[in-house]
Amino acid sequence: MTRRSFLASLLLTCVAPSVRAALGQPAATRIAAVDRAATASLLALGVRPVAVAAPGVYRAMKGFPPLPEGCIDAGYSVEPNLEVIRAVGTQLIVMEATSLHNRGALERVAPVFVLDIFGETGHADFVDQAKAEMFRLARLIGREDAAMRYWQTVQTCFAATRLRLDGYARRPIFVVQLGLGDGTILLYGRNSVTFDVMNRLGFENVWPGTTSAFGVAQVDLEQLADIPHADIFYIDFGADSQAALGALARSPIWTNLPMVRERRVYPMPPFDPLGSLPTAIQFAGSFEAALRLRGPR
Amino acid sequence: MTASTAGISRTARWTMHPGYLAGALAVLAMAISGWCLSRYVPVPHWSELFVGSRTADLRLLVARYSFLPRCVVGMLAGAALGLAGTVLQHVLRNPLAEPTTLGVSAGALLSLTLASLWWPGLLDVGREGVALAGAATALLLVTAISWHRGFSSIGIILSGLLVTLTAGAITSVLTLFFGERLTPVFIWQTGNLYQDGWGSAAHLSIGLGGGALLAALIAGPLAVLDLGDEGARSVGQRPAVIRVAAMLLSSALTAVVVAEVGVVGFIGLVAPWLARLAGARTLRQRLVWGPLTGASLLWLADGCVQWLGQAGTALPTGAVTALCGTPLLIWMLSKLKEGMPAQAQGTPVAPARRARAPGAWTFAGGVALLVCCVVLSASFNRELAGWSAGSWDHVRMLLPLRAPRIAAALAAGAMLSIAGVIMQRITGNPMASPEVLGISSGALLAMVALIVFLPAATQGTQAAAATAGALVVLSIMFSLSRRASYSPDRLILTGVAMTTVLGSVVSLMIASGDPRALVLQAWMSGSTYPVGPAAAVVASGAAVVALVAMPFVARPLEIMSLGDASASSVGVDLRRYRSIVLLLCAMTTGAATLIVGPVSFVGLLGPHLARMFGFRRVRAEALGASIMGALLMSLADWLGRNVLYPNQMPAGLMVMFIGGPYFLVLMWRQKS
Repeated sequence: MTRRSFLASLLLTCVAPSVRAALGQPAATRIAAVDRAATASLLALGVRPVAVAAPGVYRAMKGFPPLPEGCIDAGYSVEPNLEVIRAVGTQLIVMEATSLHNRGALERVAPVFVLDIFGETGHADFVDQAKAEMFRLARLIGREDAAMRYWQTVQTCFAATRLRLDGYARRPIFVVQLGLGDGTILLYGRNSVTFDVMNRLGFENVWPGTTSAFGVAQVDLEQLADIPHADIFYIDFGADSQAALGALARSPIWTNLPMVRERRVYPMPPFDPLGSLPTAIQFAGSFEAALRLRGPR
Repeated sequence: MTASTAGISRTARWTMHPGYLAGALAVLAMAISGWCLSRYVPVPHWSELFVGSRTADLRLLVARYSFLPRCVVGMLAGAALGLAGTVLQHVLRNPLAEPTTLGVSAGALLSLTLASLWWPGLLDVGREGVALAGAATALLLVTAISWHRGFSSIGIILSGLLVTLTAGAITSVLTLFFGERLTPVFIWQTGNLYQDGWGSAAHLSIGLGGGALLAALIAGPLAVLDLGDEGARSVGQRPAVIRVAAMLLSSALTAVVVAEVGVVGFIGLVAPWLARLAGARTLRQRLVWGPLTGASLLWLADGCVQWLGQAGTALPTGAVTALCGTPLLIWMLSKLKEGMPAQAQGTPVAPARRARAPGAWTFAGGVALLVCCVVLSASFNRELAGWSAGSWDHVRMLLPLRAPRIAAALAAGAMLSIAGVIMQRITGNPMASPEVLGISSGALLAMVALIVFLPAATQGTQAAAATAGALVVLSIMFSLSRRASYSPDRLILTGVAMTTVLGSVVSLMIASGDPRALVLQAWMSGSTYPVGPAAAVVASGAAVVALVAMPFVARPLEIMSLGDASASSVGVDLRRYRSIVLLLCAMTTGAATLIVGPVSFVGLLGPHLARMFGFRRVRAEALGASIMGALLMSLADWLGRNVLYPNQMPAGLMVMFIGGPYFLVLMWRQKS
């Protein structure tokens, strides 16, 4: 999306509610979601999507809020099924900027609303960006109250978590996803939910390098030693992570990393890194759990 | 050595020792590696690399357990690939044969993908074992099929190609649907030489040692193959047995490399060539210097990648070698001069079931079948409530969504088949087709370049770029095929090489985390999903233009397939027609690639089915082929929409699922 078209769409969505009011049209209530960020945003607003792309993947990737039973499956996100989306009487399709390549096809079925969370080069202020985008969506579908309530929930969650983690040592922390023995590790940093939420909770997500629009960077194992006093929180995907840890245990470099030698590597309950605002609450919970496992020292 | 093994014009006027080139490359590699090493450990401390066992100095550990093993692994893998390539090029009598030709890497990649999706524990226990199992399965398939064809080199190459394409199609589907979980596989696929310990180096040296021993044992019998199959038999050797042994050796070596470091392109192709150019004449010399050249080459390439790459964002070496290999390949093609006895004349997989020329009834039957298929595809589909053969009113409502896809499938199938017919005629090669000869890859490569450098390009610009790309590759292929010595299997190998390059570009994009890669991946698998009404109209228009133009070029095409001499003797100026025919071929390929992507067997299957039904003359064959192609593609599109409903399978992949096994069975049944 170019900046101009982005501004235009921003302007359009600002006037959209008034136009709608003038025309006397009811807000769209039958809404389809074609990716995880869109699904999460709608669920947070209390809207049950009429059709969801790949609900199985959403559940497997620990999408948050949890998907209610009985949502119609619209097929994989790569190519959401147009006939299904039409058959359920969809009035509006919500997508995140990563699904933009499908916009043309989907617009043949219903108007498309694009959330910009991981668009362009990403947004370092993840929470503010996701919040702004959720409010933009809420205005269009007449759910400002729900958005306001959800934002209250997010703020309450942050405040409560901050309070509970008051006495915990503020050492820098790497949030990583373990790979399978290719010598690199996936690190979450700027542009990701982890970076912004940890900052808000008063902890430092330390990776100084550049990250992708999704807020991840692939780094060599030895680069973790650049900040020797940092802890490692790895996202615990069960069997996959155990396999990865097994492979790493054979690596002389991994085993000699200061944090590994000092056993400062902790599992973290999984969160959906490709979600929207609700992911912030989910990650805050995961982070607190991992931190409690580490202990306050 | 007879002319049969030499592929290169011997222009070297002075005799050079083959060691000079390998040595020069090695010195260069050593210098770069030394410089890289000094980034981890300053030169005065280099002695500490080897003495002093226990240390916690991470930079020293990285140098000792990551950098040094990486250099050694580069050398060993390069040597193994060089040996595999030398042996394979010798037994297949084809200087363009590559270790990956046998389908070994594709099989290994598929097994690894499957394992990482459903049995991640297996990867932890032994990634190598999993990859070897896949490689062995692929080799078994290739061997079983080429067994029936007496291990002729064209049989081996074709079955290798089909196994590669089919395994690749399955991998693509898995990637498409489970992409997020497969990132480690992608990194592996692109040939990342990263090491953490000496394990891989040890495995590779055992594998290479065994391979070298075996190569030394069969060097004698191998050399006998130079006499030709008859000659070899007359001195008491069995060519088929020698070929099997050599192929086993070659693919075992490749499988070990693939398992340890992933797919490293072009080393196995280039190293034997360079060794020969540098003066290794006899087979024994080439068996020694091919691997050594490969070793220094991969070491050098990996050194450059490490030298230029930033920490953490380093490019995968395998993909880089494949990319750098392209110009080398083109240069090598221009050097190809001396011919080898063309082994496969005639149609390898075109059974002539009917001698009788088909009448109007056959056409009518084909058209009727096509109409039935279209009606079925439009009206009988899975819907939310289950299978539904809807009323007209119901279908009419859904037609805006279904019709563009059906039209695009029909048009693409027809156009690719026409392109296939044209190409088979002008190259005189029954296995020629836009996909097999890399024409589609050329079109796609041009579009990828456009997407990367000009993201805002319009549909029209994209179409122009695709056509231009197709035209460039087509011209290269065509000028190659006109050389009397350029055998059909060599042409196919050239096309496969083009496809390999394209694949490495895309894996490079995926590994670098470029979000456009997923879109590209979806499009490369041949999908009608994004086609809207406008694109469908354009596609149908292009198909109609191609169909209308066909009768006008039919006669020149028939004459062309007789050869230039006969053509001028009947007084036809071929030059004028040739450019029109080439343009027509590029236009159809470009348009079809734009709509459904580059991979599909239609261009091969359409003409082949048409001939099976007895359509022999160009005009009839083109019409029959386009009906068959359209039928196939629309059927594939219908299947793709319904098999995994509500999930959508790209039509191009469905065609591969149907076409790959179909051809394999056909080859299995047909004895040479």
